[in-house]
Amino acid sequence: MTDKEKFLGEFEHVLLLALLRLGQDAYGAKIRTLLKETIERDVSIGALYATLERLESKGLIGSFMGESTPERGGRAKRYFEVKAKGKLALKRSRGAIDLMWQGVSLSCEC
Amino acid sequence: MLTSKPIDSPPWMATRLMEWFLPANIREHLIGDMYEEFYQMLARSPNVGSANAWFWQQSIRTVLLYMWKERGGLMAFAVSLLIFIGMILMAMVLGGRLEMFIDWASFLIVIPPAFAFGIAASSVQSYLSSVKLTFVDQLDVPESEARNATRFLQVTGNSALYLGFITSIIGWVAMGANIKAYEFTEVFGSAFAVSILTIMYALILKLVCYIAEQKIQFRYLQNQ
Repeated sequence: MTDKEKFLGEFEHVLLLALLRLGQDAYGAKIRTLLKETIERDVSIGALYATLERLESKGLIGSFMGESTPERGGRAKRYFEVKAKGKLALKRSRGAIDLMWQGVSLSCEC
Repeated sequence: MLTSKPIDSPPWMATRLMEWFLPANIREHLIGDMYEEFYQMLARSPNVGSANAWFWQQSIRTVLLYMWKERGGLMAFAVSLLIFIGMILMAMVLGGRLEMFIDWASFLIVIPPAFAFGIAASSVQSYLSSVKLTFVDQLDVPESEARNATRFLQVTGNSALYLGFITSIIGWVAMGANIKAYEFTEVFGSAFAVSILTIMYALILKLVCYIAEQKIQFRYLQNQ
């Protein structure tokens, strides 16, 4: 496993957490809303799907098709879920960040 | 959650744009998500203009992102062609009037015959393949089709060069035979300028054919 595959990017990390928080209801529109309301990050729907596809190709998440509704113009939802490999990557990423934070204190009023 | 579809619909042109350009595996649910958010925006505030603006903005950003991602080769080729055309036009404008670089007779005796030679040496199918392989990436095509397309481009580009030089030389011979000593200073400049326009058109076509040929070789033939 290369370093690129081993460690998550910041947005990948956030996205995996969003999927875990949404659980059974993790699909495009809901993920965007959660990111906007929780961390005020207004990511474009295209960028969101590009990252989700990348995570899926790495085997960190899976997806399945859901129901279609009238307000979606009759189009089906695509639900995403974090796989065991994704959870492991999250733990590793958090562990690395926690380790790097040890002994660091920010003196500025950031 | 809404129970019925509002009267206002998302801009159909933006939807069509995404249907054309987005990959099939994400198209339906991505557009569905955008529809859902569009109607949620309208439910929160009945400002159709801002909901439409949001929908257009998201559509364009998404289409551009996926065009670079999926069709980077096409975009790079289109951008380089635009830059090339822009530089030529700029050089022409800086060189004087744009009209002095345009001569339909010179154009017609180089460009159409070069294409005709290219098709004669290969086939109409090779011409169509060369266009398709130049502008579309990641096609599963047989090696023979890619080779025929590059052959068409080689013959077309080289024919244009030969035609350009031959017709320019014919022009110089005609100038030498017909320009009288007393009118030399008056007519030589404009006659010479027109006579070398065929070389200029030929070089432009040759360059475009060369880039397209290199692209096809790189994409389809380098590993075969």
